[in-house]
Amino acid sequence: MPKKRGLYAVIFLLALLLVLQTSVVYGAGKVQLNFWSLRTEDVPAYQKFIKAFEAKNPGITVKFTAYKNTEYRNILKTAILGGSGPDLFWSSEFTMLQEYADNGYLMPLDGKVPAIKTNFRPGDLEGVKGSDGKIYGIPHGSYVYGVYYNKNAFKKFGLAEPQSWPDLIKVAQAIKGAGAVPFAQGTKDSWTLQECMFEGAFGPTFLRGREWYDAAVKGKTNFLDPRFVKALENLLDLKPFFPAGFEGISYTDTQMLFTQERAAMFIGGSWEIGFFERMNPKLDFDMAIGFPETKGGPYWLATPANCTVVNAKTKHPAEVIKFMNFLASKEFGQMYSSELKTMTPILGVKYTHPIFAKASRRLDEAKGVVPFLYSYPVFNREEPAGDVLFANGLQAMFAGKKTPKQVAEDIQNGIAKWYKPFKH
Amino acid sequence: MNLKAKQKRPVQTHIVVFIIPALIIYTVFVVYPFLVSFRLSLYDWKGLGPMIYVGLGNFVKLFTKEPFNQQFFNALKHNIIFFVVTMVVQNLVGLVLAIILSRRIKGSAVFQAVYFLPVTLSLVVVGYLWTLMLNPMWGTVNLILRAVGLGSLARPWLGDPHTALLAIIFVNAWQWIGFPLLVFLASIQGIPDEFFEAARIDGASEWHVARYITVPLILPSITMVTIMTFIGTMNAFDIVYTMEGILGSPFFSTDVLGTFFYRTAFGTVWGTPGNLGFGSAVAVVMFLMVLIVSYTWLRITRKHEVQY
Repeated sequence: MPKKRGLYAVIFLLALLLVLQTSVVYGAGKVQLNFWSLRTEDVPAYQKFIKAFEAKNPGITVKFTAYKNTEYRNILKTAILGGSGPDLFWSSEFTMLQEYADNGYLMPLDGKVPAIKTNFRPGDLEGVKGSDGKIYGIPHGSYVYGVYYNKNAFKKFGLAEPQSWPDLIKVAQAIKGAGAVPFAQGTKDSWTLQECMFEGAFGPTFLRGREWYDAAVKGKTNFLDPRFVKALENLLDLKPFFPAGFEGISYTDTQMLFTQERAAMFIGGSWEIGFFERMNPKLDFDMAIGFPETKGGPYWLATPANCTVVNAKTKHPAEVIKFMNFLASKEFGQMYSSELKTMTPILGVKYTHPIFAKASRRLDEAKGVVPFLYSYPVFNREEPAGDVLFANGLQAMFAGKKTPKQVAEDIQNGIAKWYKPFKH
Repeated sequence: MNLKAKQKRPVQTHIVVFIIPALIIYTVFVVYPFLVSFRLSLYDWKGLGPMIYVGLGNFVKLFTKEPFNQQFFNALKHNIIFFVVTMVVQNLVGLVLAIILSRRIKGSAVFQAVYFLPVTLSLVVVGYLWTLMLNPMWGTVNLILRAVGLGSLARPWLGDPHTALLAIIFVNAWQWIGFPLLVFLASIQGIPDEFFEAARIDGASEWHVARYITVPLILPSITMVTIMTFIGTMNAFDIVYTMEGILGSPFFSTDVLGTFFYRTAFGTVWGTPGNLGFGSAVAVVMFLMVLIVSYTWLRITRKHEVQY
């Protein structure tokens, strides 16, 4: 019997081990930094960047791990709360960064990364500041938004690149008149309305950059302001140029419509370029960026960026700061944009792709460059949040269920439930 | 067995040893999170930052404060529609099909396999497949409608607030119809043949046989399927998430308690912060609703069951 009991004890221990198995980390004499991201598609590129960094900084290795984007935030939150978590990680600007920074989970970078002051536009650093005004992140990839157009279709219809908002409407009318579909746009995925169309491509010029926004944040005006309602009305002018059944057309459908040349224009962000080229290498397209009220007039652009932040509890602060300095360098900016075919907020980067070169020029010529403002940083802090109110409101507006004025009222009523300056 | 005999039996050590690992896993991953979510529902907690005890505040907020109560009752209404319509288009149709197939018509086995096939597909595949078929531009549904001259019925099924929820319910029923069918078929085949023979000799019509013999005798299966449908539809999430996303697009017209819970607990992908405390309160309410209704239902229907 005792023998048997010993056997049971062994089985029990083995079973217990299986359940409570813990991962063992092997030290190798080198400092290893853990870097988490949600950009699974960027893994090969980041491995190249990291190799370049490691070559110059012997003794430091960086391990880049990417999680599925729908799970990333929860995995990260759990790890950080548990006191573990990576040394540095991907964060979106504003809401996510501030959520971590304001609760003391991030390391401020002021004074530790000198290139922050020289390599970025001040506007591009707005989204990486905590509520205390300190800088917590280094912005990397950024986007510009505009209207992609099919050059062959434009040639066929005898059209030139639209230079202003009225121009864009005229071009759309001409394409529709010729019996073709002007915009590859659908409203099934409401984020495209809120992000690509309102926040990205057109909103900043309709609302003159920060003009309405700054007054609204202080409570001096609100979403019922005629300027805001007018912005919604302007957007609604595009509806007649959407394909039939646009209410049921999803984001991926719209990409297909444009790349298969079934629609002449596509409103979207600069991340599409690489995708469009891969989907249809024969597609000849360009992008119109910035739509002033009149040709040659002032226009505003939005360039939201994401950033890399440092865990306040990192065990290797000196090494992480070295890596952050690398992320803020022109060398990294150049590598990043060439390798990933995207824009970067790092100044002085040379773009070989004609659309990026143009975007870079249009950013310089713009009257102002803003981050995503209208539904995100301030108006997204509590429930009901700006992004959902905007997305649902715009979707209902295009479906004809609500007028621009009603949409503005819904947003106002929603935000006023918790935003103190709106409570009078 | 008397008490003494019981005590004399040797302790079944090996049973204990084999149960413990599973028990630990079950406790750690099911029981513990379950209890924690009950506790969490009494707190205001955004995941980071302090946990603030608010008592029943989350529940009060859920039922009385706009827009949460609007969204909650809107979602609940959709769950109820989901349940009622599923009972008809999935379970009633499944029952009729089961009665037909039980007559051992030609190709009965093939039909059984065909009806059951979608059950084995991954839900994501089903959602994607139907999203394509319901696409307003190249979807086969609209193409067929146009081909047979019903072009006026073609619409953006998943983008129109009047049809989106029904389309999702239909897709869900399409996938799951094989399950009630199989359960009903098995119970019908368990009914002694004499009952049917006797009825037919007495001149009962097919309807009478179904109404007075088949249905009463398979009532336990109907109860089980109904309760499972209720639990499934009240907790519906994945099919809505796959086909319409986290916002129950278009503008909350397909929002169900599952998506509402997900939004409130974890926030949106773009960065609206979630509130795990409030989300847990939603989950607790969902759990209690399912528990109370299922239990009462079982108690009531038990009384009507026929023994044979």
